[in-house]
Amino acid sequence: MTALHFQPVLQRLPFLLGGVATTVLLSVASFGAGLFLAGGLAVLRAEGPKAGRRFGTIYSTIMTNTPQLSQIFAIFYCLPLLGVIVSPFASVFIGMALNAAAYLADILTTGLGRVPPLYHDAAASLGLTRRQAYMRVIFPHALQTMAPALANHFQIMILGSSMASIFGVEDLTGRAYDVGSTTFRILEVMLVTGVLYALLSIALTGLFALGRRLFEGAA
Amino acid sequence: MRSAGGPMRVFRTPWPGGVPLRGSRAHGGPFGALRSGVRKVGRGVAACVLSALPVCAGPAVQARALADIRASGHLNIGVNPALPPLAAYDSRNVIEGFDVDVGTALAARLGVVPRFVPVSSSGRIPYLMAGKADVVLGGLTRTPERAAVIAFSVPLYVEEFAIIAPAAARVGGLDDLASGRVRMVEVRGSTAVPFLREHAPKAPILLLGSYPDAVRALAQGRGDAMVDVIEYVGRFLAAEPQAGWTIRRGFAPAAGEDCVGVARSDTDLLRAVDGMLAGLTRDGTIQAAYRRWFGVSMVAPVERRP
Amino acid sequence: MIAFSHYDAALLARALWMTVVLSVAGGLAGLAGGTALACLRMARGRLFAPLRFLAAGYVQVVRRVPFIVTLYIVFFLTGMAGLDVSEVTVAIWAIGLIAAGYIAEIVHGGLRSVPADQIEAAVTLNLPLLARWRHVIVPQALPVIVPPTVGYLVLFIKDTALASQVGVLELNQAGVILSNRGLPTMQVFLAVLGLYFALSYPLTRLSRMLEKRLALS
Repeated sequence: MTALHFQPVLQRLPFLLGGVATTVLLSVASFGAGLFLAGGLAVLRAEGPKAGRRFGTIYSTIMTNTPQLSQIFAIFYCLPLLGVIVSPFASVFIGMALNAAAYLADILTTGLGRVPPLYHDAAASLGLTRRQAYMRVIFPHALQTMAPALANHFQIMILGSSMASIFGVEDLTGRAYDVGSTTFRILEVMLVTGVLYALLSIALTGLFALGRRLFEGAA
Repeated sequence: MRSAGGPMRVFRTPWPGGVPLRGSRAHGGPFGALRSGVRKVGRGVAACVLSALPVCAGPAVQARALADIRASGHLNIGVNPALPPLAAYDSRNVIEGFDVDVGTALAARLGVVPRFVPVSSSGRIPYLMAGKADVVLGGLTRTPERAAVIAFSVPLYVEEFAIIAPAAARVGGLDDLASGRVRMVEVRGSTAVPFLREHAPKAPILLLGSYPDAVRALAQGRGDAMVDVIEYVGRFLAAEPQAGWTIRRGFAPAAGEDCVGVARSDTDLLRAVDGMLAGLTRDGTIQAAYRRWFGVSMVAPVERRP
Repeated sequence: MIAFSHYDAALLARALWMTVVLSVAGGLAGLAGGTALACLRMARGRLFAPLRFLAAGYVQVVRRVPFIVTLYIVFFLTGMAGLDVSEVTVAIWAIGLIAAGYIAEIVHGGLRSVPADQIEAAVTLNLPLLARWRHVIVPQALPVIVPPTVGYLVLFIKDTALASQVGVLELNQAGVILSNRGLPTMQVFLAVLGLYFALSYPLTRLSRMLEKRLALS
C-alpha cells in the first residue's frame, strides 16, 4: 500500500449514512428505555421497602462495575439458551438499556436527593397522589437538575452503541466494517467513521442543548 | 453539554465539585445554544481536518521487506484463532492447527521465530495492506478482487463451498437461497458474501465476526443457512448436534484455492514464500499437516498463476 | 457449578492479568498525556495559541469518537507508519489517547477552579512560578481532580474489553474462547463478569472514599 485512498470509501458514504440512522435509533431507544427503568429504580431506592432499596443499589453497583460489552455478550449468548430468540438489534438494545438503567438510576437518585423536601409537602398538600407527585412535580425537577449528567450519559451511549457491530447489527461501525471488508481500505473507513461519529455527537449535543433552552424558556 | 462525566454516573454527589459544566452556563436565549453548537461544529471539523493532515502527508508505507523480517528475527503470521482446523486455541490454551504448522515451517525455513497475529476473516487483507502482518493465512481464497490489492502465493489446498443448514430450516439448493426466503448467516470478510451477493442477491445476510458465532446463530435459529467451507465449521457443528445439520455440496463452480497472502510490494517475500512452499510440498510437510488437521489426504492443488 | 479445568482457569488468569496490564498502563499514559494537555491549555501568551487550540480540539474530538474506532485507527496507523508493535502496545496507546482526552478535561476544570484572584495575589507577592504552582494552585486543584480521575480509571478498565477486537487476549476474549471451546456459556460469562467486578469495585469504593475525604479537608 502506498498512500491513503479515500475515493472508494467516499463512494460508499450514503451506505455509511444509513448506518448512522441505526446508530441514532439504537442510542435513542435504549436511552429512553433505560431512563424509564432508571425512574423505577430511583423511586425504589428512595421510597421502596428495605429489600427493594437494597436491590436497586446492588443492581447499579454490579452493572456499573462490569463492561457493557461482556454484558451484551452474556445476553446475546444466553437468552437463546432460555428459549428467547431475539434479533441482534434487540439483544444489543436490551443490553444497552439494562446497562443505562444502572447509570441513569445513579444520576436520578442524586437528582431526587436534590429535590427540596418542600416540593414533596407542597405536592401532598395539593392533594396529589404519590404517583402524581412524582410524575408532575418531582421527576420534572430532578430531570431538570440532572439534565447535564443525562445528556452526558446519552453522549456516552452513542459511543457505546458502536459495540452493536460485534453482534451483527448494521450500525455505523458495522457498516464501516462492511465497507472495510469489501474495499479493503479499513483505515480510511475508520477515519471517515470517526469524523461521522464526531459530527453526529456534536449535532445531537447541539439539539439537546437547544431543546433544553426552549424547554426552560417555555417553563 | 460537556462530556467529561463518566464518574458522574458513579458518584453520589456528581458535580458541582470540579469541572464546570458547559451545559449549565448561561446562554443568551434559545439561539445561544444553536450558536455555540455551530461554533462547536466548526471547531470540531477544523480539529478533525488538522489532525488528519499529518496522516495524509505521511510517508508512503511499505510492508516489511524480507531483509527487515530477517533482521528483526521474527515473522508476523496472521492466523484466525477461531477457525479450526486451520487455527484454534487447544485445551491447553496454545494456538494450533494447519495454518500454525505451515506458518511455523515457513518461519523455520526463513530462520526466524514465528509470531502469530490473531486476525478475523475481515481483517486478513487490511492487516497485510497496513503491514500488521507479513503473511496471512486463515483460509485465504484467491479471488480477482483480492489479487488487485494483495499478492497470493502458490495454492496450499483447494476448498469447496457447501450449504450448511439446520434440518428444521428445510433449505434446498442454491435456487432456494436465490428466492430470498432463506435468511443467511455469514462471516464478515469471507468469499461467501460476494458469492451470495452475485448468485442470491435477494437473500438477507446477517454478518457476524467469527465462525463459532455464525454457527451458534444458525443453531439458535437467528438464520436458516450458511454458505461456507464445511471443514471450517465441522467442529462447531458437532457442538450443536441437536440442530441435525444438513449439508449440500457440489453446486455452482464454488471451489477455491487457498493461498498464503503477502503484501503486493513485497515481491522478494512472495518469491521466498513460493520457494519455501514448493520445498515444503516436495518433502511432504504440507500434505502431512493437512492429513493431521483435516483428517483426510489432500487433493493436489492446481499449479497455476492468476 | 462448572468444572473449569486447570487450563481454563489458567486462561482466565492470563486474561485477567492482561486486563490489569492494559488498564494500568493505559491509565498511566492517559494521566501523563491528560496532564500535559491540560497544562498546554492553561499556557498563556500568543505563542501558545495554536497549541491551545489543538489541545482543546483534541479533547473535543477524542471524546466524541467510539473507543473501538479509535482502536482501529491506532492499530492500522502504527502498521502504516512501519512500527512493528504488538497488539497489546496498540491497545495501551489507544486507551492512553482516549484517557488523555477525558483526564485533560478534568485537570483543566480543576486548575480553573482555583480562584483567579488567588493566583493574582500570589503573583503580587512575587512568588516564583514553581512556588505558585506548588503552594497555591496544586493544593487547591488536587481535591477537585483526584476523585473524578479515579472514577474515570474505573471506566477505562471496562473499555479494555474492546481490545479483544484487535486480537488481544483479555478477559472478555477469554470468555469468548472458553465458550467456543464448549464450556457452558452462562457460567463462563458469569465468571468473566465477576472478575471484572473484582477489579473495578475496589476502585469505585476508593474514588468515593477520596471524594468524601478530600471534600472534608
